[in-house]
Amino acid sequence: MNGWSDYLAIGAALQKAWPDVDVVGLDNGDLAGKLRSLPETDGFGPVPEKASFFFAVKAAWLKARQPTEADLPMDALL
Amino acid sequence: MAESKTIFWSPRGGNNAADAWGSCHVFSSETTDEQTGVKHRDTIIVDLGQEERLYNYMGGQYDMMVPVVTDCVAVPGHDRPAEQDKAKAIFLTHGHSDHIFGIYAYTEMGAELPPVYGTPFTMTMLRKGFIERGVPEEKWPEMREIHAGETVRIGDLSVRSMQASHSIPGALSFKISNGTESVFHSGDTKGDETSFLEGGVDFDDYKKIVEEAPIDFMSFDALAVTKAGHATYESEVADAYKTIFEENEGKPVVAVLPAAHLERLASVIAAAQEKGRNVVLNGGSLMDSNLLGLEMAGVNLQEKFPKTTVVGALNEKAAELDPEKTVVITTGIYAEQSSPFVRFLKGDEKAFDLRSDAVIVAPLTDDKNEQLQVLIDGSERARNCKRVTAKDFPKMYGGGHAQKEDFDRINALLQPKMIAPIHLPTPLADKFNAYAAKQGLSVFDRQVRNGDTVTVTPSGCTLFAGEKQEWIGMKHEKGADGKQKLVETAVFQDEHFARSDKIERVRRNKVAYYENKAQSLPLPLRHRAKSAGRS
Repeated sequence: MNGWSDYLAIGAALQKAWPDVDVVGLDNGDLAGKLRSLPETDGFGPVPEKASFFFAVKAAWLKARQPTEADLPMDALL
Repeated sequence: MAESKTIFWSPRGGNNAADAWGSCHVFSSETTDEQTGVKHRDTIIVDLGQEERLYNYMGGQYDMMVPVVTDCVAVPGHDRPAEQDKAKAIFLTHGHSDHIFGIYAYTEMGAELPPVYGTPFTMTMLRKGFIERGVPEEKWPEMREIHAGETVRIGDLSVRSMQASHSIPGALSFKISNGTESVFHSGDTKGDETSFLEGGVDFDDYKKIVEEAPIDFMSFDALAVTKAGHATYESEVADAYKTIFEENEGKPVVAVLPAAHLERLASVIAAAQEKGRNVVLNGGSLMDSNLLGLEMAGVNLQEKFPKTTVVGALNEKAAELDPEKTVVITTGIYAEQSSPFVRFLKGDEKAFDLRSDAVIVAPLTDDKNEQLQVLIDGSERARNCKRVTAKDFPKMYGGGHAQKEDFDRINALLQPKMIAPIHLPTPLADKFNAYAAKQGLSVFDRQVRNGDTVTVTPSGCTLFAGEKQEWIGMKHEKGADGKQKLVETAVFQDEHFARSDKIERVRRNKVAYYENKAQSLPLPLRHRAKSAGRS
C-alpha cells in the first residue's frame, strides 16, 4: 500500500476487515478509527481530515464489494 | 467592427443508427471579421460518453468504445488539433456512463482535457469513477461545479444551465449562445416538475430564457417522443406506491428498483413517509455506491424525509424497525447478480430477510421483468409472496425521457425556430421528424447523424453532411499486478448508418458491425464538410 491516496488498496483492506459495515451511513470519525486500526496503514501518519478523503475511501470500499462492473444493465440508464 | 457569427453543432455520439449510446456533442462559435476575414473560434464539448452496446462493434472485441473528438482535444498518438480548434470546456448534462465515461477513456489515453463542468452530483459521480479506476488525482481533469440558473462564459460562448429531469439527480439542459444565436440542448430530460430530490424542471426558467433571447435551434432528447402521453412523473410513481402501502397495511413490503434510479428511490421514500412506513435501503454495493454519491453531493435522504426513518440494511437501527411498518428498497429488477434480493432468491438465505407474508413490488411488465419473476417462482420462500407489478399499477414505472406530451409542452414554451432530435437511433429519429413536420415544426429531412454539422446563423440553420463519425475502441488486459491496463486502441468508422435496418436487437458477439477501415483521423469538421442543402 502506498500511503493514504492508495484508495483501492485501503478499500479492499477495510472490506476484508469489516465486510458487514454500513459504509454509506458510517460516521467519518468512526471511519478514521477503523483506518487507524488497520495494520496495513501503519506508518502512514495521521488520517487526513478532508471530506473528500473519506468519500474516496468509502467509494473504494464499496468498489471492493462489487462483484463485476458489468452488473449494471443499460436499461438502468434510461 | 462588422463581424458575422455562426454556431456550429456536431453530434459525435448518441445519434447512432441503431442505438442511443455514447452521447457527445461539439459546439463552436465562429466569429469572422468581415473586413479582414480573420476568424476566431471557441469550442466546447457537451457530454463525452461511452457506447454501451459494445457487441455492435467489431464483434465485441473491445471493452470500451468512445466517439473521436481528436479534432478538438489533443491526444498522444493522434494529429494534434490547431490551438484555435481545441475545446475550452466540457459540460456534462448528467452522470450516466453513456454521457461521462469518455472522460475516463480520454484521461487514460493521456488526453489534454479542458476543465469539466457539471452539477455537484455529476461531479461526485465522475470523481467516484476515477477513484474506482485507481486513477491518481493529479491525472484527473479540472472539475468545476455548476448549478441550474448559472451561466459560464467560454470565449464568445455563454452556457446557461437549466434544471432537467431524468432518472438521476443533477441533470441539466443548456442554452448555448454566442450573443447573436441561441441553441437549447436538452440533455436527457422528461420534463417532469415533480422530482422529490430537486423539484424537477422549472418551466418558469424556460420562459425566462426565451424572454432573454429566442431559441434559434433546439437539439432535443427525442428517444421516447414518439410514445403517446407523458413520461411517468415521479409524483405519479409516489401515488402508486402510496396506494400499494395503503392496500397492504400491516404487511412488510419489498420494493425492487434499479440500483441507479435515485429519483425513483426518492419517490418511494416520499410515499413511505406519507403513509407512515420506515425505509430500509438494502440494494447492495451498487445502490450504496449511488447513495454515497448523493450524500457527497449534499443530499442526505434522512434530512430530506425527516418524518420517517431511512437507514441502510447494515445499520443496527434497521433491526429495530417494525417490519410491518417498513418498506425495504432493494435492487434486482434486472436480476443483477450483486443484488442481495437476487442472491437470496438464488438460495443465499443470509443475503436478504424475506417474510412469507411480504409483498414484493416489482415494477416492470414486459420481458425485462421475466428473469426476476422466474427467480421468484423458483424460490421456495418467495414464490408464495404476494406480487405487485406494473400490470396492477402502470404508473409505478417509467423512463427518464420526454414523451409526446412532454415534448409538445417544452416546444410550446421554447418555440425553437428549428429542431433536431438527439439520443436516438435513426428509425426513431425519422419517426420524430415525421411527427414534428406534421405539427408544422421546422426539422431537417433526415436525422442529424454523428459526424454531421449544423450551422446556426441569423439567416437560418443548415445541415452539412460529414464523413462517417469515428470511434476509438479500447482493449484492456489484466496486468501482473492484477490491475486492468490499456493494451490496444484502434479507430473505426461508424458503419451504423447504412445498416440500421439490420442491427436492431442483435445478439452478443454474433455479428461484427464495424470494420477496421484504418482511416486517418478526421480533420476539423468545418474543413471536410460538404453542403447537404439548406433546410
